[in-house]
Amino acid sequence: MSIARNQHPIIKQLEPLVATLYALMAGMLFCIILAYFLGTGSFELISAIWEGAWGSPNAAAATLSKLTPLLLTGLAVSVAYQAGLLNIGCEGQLTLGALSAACFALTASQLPRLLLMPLTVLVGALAGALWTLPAMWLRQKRGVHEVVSTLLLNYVAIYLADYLARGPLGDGSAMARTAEIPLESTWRAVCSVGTIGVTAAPWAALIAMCLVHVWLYRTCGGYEAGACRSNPLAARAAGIPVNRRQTRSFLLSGALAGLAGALEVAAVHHRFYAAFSPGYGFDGITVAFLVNNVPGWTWLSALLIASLRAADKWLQLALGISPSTILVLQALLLITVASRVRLPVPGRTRRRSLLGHLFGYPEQTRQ
Amino acid sequence: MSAPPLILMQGISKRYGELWANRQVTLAVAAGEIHALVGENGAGKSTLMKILFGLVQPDEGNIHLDGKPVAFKHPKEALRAGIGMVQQQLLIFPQLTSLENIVVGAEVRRWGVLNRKETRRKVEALCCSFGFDLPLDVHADEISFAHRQQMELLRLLYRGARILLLDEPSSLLAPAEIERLLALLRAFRAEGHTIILTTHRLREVFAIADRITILRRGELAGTWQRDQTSAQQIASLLVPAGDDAAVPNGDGINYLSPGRIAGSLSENASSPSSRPRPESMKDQECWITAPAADSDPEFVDMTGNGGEAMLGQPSSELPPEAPPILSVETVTAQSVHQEPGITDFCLQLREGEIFGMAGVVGNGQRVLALLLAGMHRVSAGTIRLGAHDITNTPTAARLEMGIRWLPENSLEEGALAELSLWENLLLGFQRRPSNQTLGWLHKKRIMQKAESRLELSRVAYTNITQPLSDLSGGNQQKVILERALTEPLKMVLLEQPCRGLDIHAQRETHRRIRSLIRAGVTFLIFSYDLEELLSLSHRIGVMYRGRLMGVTHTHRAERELLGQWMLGAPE
Amino acid sequence: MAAFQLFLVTLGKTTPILLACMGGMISELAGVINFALEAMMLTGAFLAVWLAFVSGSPWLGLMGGALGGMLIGLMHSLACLKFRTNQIVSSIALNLLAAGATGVLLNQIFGVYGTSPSVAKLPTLRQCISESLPFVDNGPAWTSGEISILAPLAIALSLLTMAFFRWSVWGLRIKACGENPLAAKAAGLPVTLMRSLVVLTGGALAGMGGAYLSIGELSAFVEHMTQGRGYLAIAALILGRWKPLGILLAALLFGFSEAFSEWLAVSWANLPHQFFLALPYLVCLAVLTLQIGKTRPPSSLGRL
Repeated sequence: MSIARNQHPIIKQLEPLVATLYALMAGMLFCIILAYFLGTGSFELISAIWEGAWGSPNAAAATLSKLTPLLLTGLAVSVAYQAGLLNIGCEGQLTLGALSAACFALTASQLPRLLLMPLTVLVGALAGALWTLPAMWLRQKRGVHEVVSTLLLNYVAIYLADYLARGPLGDGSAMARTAEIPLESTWRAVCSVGTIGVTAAPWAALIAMCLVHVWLYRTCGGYEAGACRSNPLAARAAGIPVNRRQTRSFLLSGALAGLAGALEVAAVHHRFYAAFSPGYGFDGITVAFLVNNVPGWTWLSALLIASLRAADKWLQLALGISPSTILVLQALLLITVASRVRLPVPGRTRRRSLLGHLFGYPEQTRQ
Repeated sequence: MSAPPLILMQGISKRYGELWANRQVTLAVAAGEIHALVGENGAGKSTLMKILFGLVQPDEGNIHLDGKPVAFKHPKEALRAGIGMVQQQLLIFPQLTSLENIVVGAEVRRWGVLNRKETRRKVEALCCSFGFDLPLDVHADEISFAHRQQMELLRLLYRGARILLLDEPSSLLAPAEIERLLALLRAFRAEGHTIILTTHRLREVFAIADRITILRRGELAGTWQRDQTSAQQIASLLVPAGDDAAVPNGDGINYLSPGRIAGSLSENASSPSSRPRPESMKDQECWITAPAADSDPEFVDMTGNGGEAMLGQPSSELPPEAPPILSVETVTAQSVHQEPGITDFCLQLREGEIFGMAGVVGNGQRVLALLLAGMHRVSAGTIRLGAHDITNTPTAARLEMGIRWLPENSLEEGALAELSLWENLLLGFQRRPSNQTLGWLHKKRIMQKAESRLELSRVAYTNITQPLSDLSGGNQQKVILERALTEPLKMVLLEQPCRGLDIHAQRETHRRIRSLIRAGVTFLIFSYDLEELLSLSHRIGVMYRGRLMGVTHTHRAERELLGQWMLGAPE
Repeated sequence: MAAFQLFLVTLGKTTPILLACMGGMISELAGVINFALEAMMLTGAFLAVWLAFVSGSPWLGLMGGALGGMLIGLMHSLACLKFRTNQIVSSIALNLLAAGATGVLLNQIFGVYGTSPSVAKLPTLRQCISESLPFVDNGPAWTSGEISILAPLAIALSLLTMAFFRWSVWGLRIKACGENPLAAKAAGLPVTLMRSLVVLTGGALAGMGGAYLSIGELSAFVEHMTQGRGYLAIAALILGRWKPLGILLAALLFGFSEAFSEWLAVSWANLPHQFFLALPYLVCLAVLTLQIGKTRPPSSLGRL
């Protein structure tokens, strides 16, 4: 007889929060160490990051503008992860989502605003979703791991977008960009922070997050996706069409990434640039894994990463240290948190997580 | 035993959490003997061997080899000392050839360059001298189970191991393959090798072992010379006294007691009519007057199934008028995942029947189970459940019809380890109208239902939302079994239902099965353990290379015939 | 002559991919997923420049490149084998770390952003020949093209790897670790140690690939200079099916398409050279789609 471990359900619910707080603490520690190496005071470094992200209204607006794509790509990664898939192709899906949204807005510019605005975003999401299909096909028909195929598709998408924006879809300038999309398709600022207008895009992203969370934890579909992640064989034996459910989750994941790109175009740049994303797709992985891939908490980690990313230029201005410091910090956070993430690898027994060590969960008893 | 023992393990203890795998165990093995470690599942036989091999470190105790104290931290050190182990779960390198599999780590080499010719000659010489028939240039994932086992033995012999530890070497072999293995072991002994083996089959123990050590719940029960003990004595020692009383007699079935084992031992295997039947006095006499055990005592199963068989079939004979429920008509299916397919397979099960499917591992049993569960495609033929043609019915619809499947490694293939208990019980039934409306799960209702079911099946848990993996292995299996028995039930496919369960859980499972057939549920049980099938089922069929070799009523079953079928010999 | 030039450029472009790909191959054959090739290359490229800058010797720089790759390899093996982090996530984190850390160090050490001061380059094949064989006046005709000495070295290393996995005992043992670590342990192999060493060696190879970029092709470190070549190497690894000869051919194909797209951009500026940049990925996807023949990755890839 084993002694079942006594863990209150609420503690389990709050685990992502605890994980993020723990990451924050670790981040502070890393800041101190980094500051020592960089020859600045550790307090200066931390406060510079804070200043850079939230110090002025303009900085806060910049941070908020980064929040939207990060939240959505983080969500994309966790949705796929919750169905047992790792989507590292968000960058490509995001790029194509943005490009298609821009193209659609340019070609369908005569549509009324009420139709054009939502359709633009939806087309972007659709493009992102479609870009995941080859990866799913390869996984299900050819047994190619989706990490490999999405990685390859990223580059194909980026070069394709670059070519299209320079050539057939470009605005004729030397830059790789499309023409400006019609005003009717853009999102207008609903309020302004400092001198910068903030659109409703962050709210849209938050709503998407809530919907995904509810779908995942309260509905049949979400439950089935979870079963596919936990044990595909058991799910199949229970009559769940695993391939179809995983494809659905992956389509959703691609759609969220595509949505992130479309919102960037519709709400921020108002046109497609070939290099508009400073790696939002890849940062989505960090965002998702920081909160243990629980969609409902993605806002927290997205906020954290957005703050860090927004502060990088400020570090250079205020302290004269390289903006790349932020990358180092982010990598250290990811690796710290990832050390306690367990992917379901067959044949491996459960181990006590780092969190368990910290909070003293008893080790699992074996029989 | 005046000579000092070759191996002396003294006061070995090993604890996993609350559970003692070994507790103050002492084992002495003489050079050149075959020493059998006997005990029920979970008695700590494997742990003891792993400690000797350096795979597991003991908490206490010391080991002497040839009088010198040793403590192996790594199997490599044990190998250097001439100790090799074949584990129950065979360890193969799937994409390397058999030859590479055998020699890796101990190749014939010069300056790091592999000398293939010399290596091969050495291995072939070994093959010749012991009579192995292993193909050397085939990838290890393409050869049969018996060959893989030979490969592992060769791996040890090649390394010059003089002491061989074999963990349940016969559990997945056909009777004739077992004979072959025993002959091999005798050949090893003749060459001066020392062998320690665990098995749960007393017949093998008495066929080859020189001495026998019994473990009971991690503790030593004693060591005996083979000729100074009897199977009765061993069997009575296996299960601690007083255990019988602890088992609920829910079905009015009496469980294993030494006296019954004794009866079983005196039974003559080759004459099926003498197999005792509870309901027939004539049989009873036959059993009493049967010739006494000869030099090759009858197989006694430690799990106690043999004893159960004595008082026998739960619902005795299947009523002849029981309507057929499942019919498999000349079904052919492709192989899948290296499991051979089946060809022109015919089978008919009747309502309330327990049908045991025997056969050597990898003869199409898996594909048949997958087919019936709707997990694999039928190439030709039809499958009928009652009046419905279910040949191509998807799994979900079969679940609704009442077909359930408990896969072979139910924890690996059926458990949602990191999901909660209620989610595990829900799997497969999440689309039922009582559980959801328009896709919205009625969590509260589902959880309440799950709680009451777990309470009924006596699963030890604290919270319905705790992950399944928090429970002990036995309790996890109970949860999976509970799910597989979700109402409404018509026909249940069980693959190795009792593997890895301790004796109590096994009895519990058997009791559950017997109580369900009264309600008209049909069971198709796949097992490699002939004794389990003989004790449980109404009829037994044997599969060989994707065909049904034959079917026989259990009370008329002849082990020799079944053994021949298992190797493909015609009637 | 143009064809010969294209061939030389192809060899040059093949070199870093081939080196990184070999690094990835040996670590994956031992069963450790290595997506951190990008990080290994970038760190290698940086340390190569740093050491060449400090010592003035490009050969020490090359060693520095190997060391840089090994550093990342050390972190990867620690994370995966000791702390049992998911191997893909660990790789992604390391890629991020390398991108950040090289930027920070560039600023800390050289006080610049973007591009480091220029350092001594590795000699070209022609220089090496005329140095060691002074009687050959200008070198034979086939050495007239300018190509870094590292390119023939990489090809030689590739052949060496081929021989290693074909004939050596250790090649077999490494494969055994990737096939079934438990069985390898039972066969007396120190699995974790071997895996760590193999990941380190792989790091050294990939780091040398990075060094080629910074002190073989250019003579300075540029931030993010690997530009996804580490990922390209992974594509080559899959295309080459975890076989030494296969990855040599795959790397050559990728090198060629890169060289060709560069040539195209110069010669016909309005043709879509992006197509040739994307070609390696497209070819890889196509091969995965068609799956000619049947090869599986190492059986226990990613499992401890």
